[in-house]
Amino acid sequence: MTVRTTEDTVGSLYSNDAELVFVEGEVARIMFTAGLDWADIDTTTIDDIVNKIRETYEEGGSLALGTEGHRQAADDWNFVRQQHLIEVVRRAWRRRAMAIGRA
Amino acid sequence: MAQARYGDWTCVMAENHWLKALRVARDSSNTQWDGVFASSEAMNDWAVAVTADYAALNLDQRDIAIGGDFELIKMDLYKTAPENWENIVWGAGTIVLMISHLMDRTNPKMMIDYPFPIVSLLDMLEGPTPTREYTVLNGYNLYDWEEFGLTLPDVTNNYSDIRYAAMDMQDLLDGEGAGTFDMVRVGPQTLHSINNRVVDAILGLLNVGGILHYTNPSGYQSSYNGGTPHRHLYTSFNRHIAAQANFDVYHIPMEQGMIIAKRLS
Repeated sequence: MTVRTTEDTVGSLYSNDAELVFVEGEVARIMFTAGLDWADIDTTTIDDIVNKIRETYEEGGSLALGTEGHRQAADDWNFVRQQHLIEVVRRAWRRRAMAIGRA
Repeated sequence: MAQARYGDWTCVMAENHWLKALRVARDSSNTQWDGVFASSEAMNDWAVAVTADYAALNLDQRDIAIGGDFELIKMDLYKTAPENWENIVWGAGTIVLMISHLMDRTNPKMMIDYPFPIVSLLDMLEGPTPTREYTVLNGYNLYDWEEFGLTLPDVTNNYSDIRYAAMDMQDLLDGEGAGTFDMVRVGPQTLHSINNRVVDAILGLLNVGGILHYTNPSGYQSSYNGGTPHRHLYTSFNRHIAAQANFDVYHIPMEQGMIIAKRLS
């Protein structure tokens, strides 16, 4: 779809279909990154996704390998990825709920 | 004390330091944009309409679902707006206008992700030849603005020829409008995706000399306060922008911070 203008349609340029396609793409990518499958979206909750991200990108995994007291770069990397993915999926999930509610 | 965040600003539900500063700054500027949407009454009409719609959607507000993200808790400000909160909107709008004025271009082409029914924006959109050529990214903010902002009597009674455009996120990612925009104003709610794909698309919109105004690149000061930027999720996005060889990039750490980036080539 190309850019829409208000020459004839002031106040109705929002596209709910386009919004839903984009945010569902975001959710699907994050689910895949965390080890989940978009095919299961109908039975997946935001709790499932956030918890799976926390599990997959668990901070402190390196410490458990005998490096007590020393944070390793991998811990920081996991922590940042975890926080990043959770932030984006929470936002996309909410946008998806709004778009579904307005469909 | 309850705290809410709005655009570039953080405010407490009373006239705190920042609200006072905005009131004084507005009083000392000659770009006050006095008008129907410079009043608390009009802003409250807008806030009530949007709040009612969100309530009707019955969205999941549990912590695991929304965390502390601004975009997901902004309704706190709408529900319990502080006195003179229109000054907050004035402040955010003034920065956008200031940059676009100082660029000194004729009818600059602008991209934003968060329109508000305020005088400083509406005046720029009024035809037949708007002084700014605005495009709004498709999303819930556009929906709110069209459904509950443009339909308010204060808007319809004062603006009869509003003109703007809308672009879908997927079209942005596909390169629509690349190299044609004079200014883009977006926040992390738009830029942050699973990787830097949206950042690159946004930067790609700008023509040579065009300016990115990226609000709140600190995560409400959390990246400043933490002191460990490598452990902050915003850092990789900010560093990706800073690494652009064809941009001058300024990260200004006032309040929530902002990044101003100008395309050089």
